[in-house]
Amino acid sequence: MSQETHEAVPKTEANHHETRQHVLIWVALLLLTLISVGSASVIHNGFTIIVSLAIAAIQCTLVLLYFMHLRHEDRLLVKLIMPITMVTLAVFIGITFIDVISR
Amino acid sequence: MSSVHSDHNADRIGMWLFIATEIVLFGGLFLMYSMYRFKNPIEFHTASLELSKVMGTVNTFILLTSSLAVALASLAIRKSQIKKTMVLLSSSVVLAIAFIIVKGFEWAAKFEHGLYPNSAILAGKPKGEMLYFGLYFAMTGLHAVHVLVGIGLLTFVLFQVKRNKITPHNPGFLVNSGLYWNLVELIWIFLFPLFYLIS
Repeated sequence: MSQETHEAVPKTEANHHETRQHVLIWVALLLLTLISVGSASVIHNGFTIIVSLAIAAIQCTLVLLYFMHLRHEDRLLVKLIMPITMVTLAVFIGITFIDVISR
Repeated sequence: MSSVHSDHNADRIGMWLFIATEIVLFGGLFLMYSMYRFKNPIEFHTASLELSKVMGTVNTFILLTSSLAVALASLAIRKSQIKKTMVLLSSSVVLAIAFIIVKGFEWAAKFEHGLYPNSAILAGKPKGEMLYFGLYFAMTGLHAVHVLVGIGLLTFVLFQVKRNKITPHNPGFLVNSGLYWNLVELIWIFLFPLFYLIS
């Protein structure tokens, strides 16, 4: 059963590098959260939400690419699922907003 | 050989499609949130003053760390480091439980202040604040259900690793559970600023 999957054989060096990279990404995610909280207590206007949503989008991208390994994904189909979902959602929200604003 | 290979791909494609449906599920709620917030900006601002930014930030850190642990566990199992994998999985479960406990304290504080759906105090407040708390409970509630499912799933994965059912050559179930857990984290990344950081 196990002799079949040679592709799962570990590449130790690359893997060690990846562990370090994951920890660095985690530090970046924590710092971005702090920046988001900090900016929310400094900026008190409409920009607050724009800044924190932009930071959330960066965090989201980091999690998808590194923690969820989309960076190493070789299937185009799998690579495209998330962008397509996000664009669909953006279209839903955008069109609904146009309706609400212009009413 | 080829059947093992294609199974692995199908698992991954299926998991990502499931993640897409989850994002659309929460997306509908995010859509509702943005429309009501657009209509009631001041009420949303006032209502969000009730939430503790400290608790929200602590919970964000807890969940981010838990996600890291699961992502590292997916790497460790491929390196055949079974013990390390189990330690990482256990710590992610412990952190997930910590998240639920903090969330419990937050919700308990809201209930103490009479801020829960259909309460007399909330009924006396402006419509926008009622909408805010309705969305707050619905969205963080649905997210908490996902965290509870995650706790069960990751505990199951932990025992499967221990019983040698998930192995370095067959880590698919662990990797997919890790993807699910990171999805739960992704949703929180957006819930946090929308509810906690708008006051």
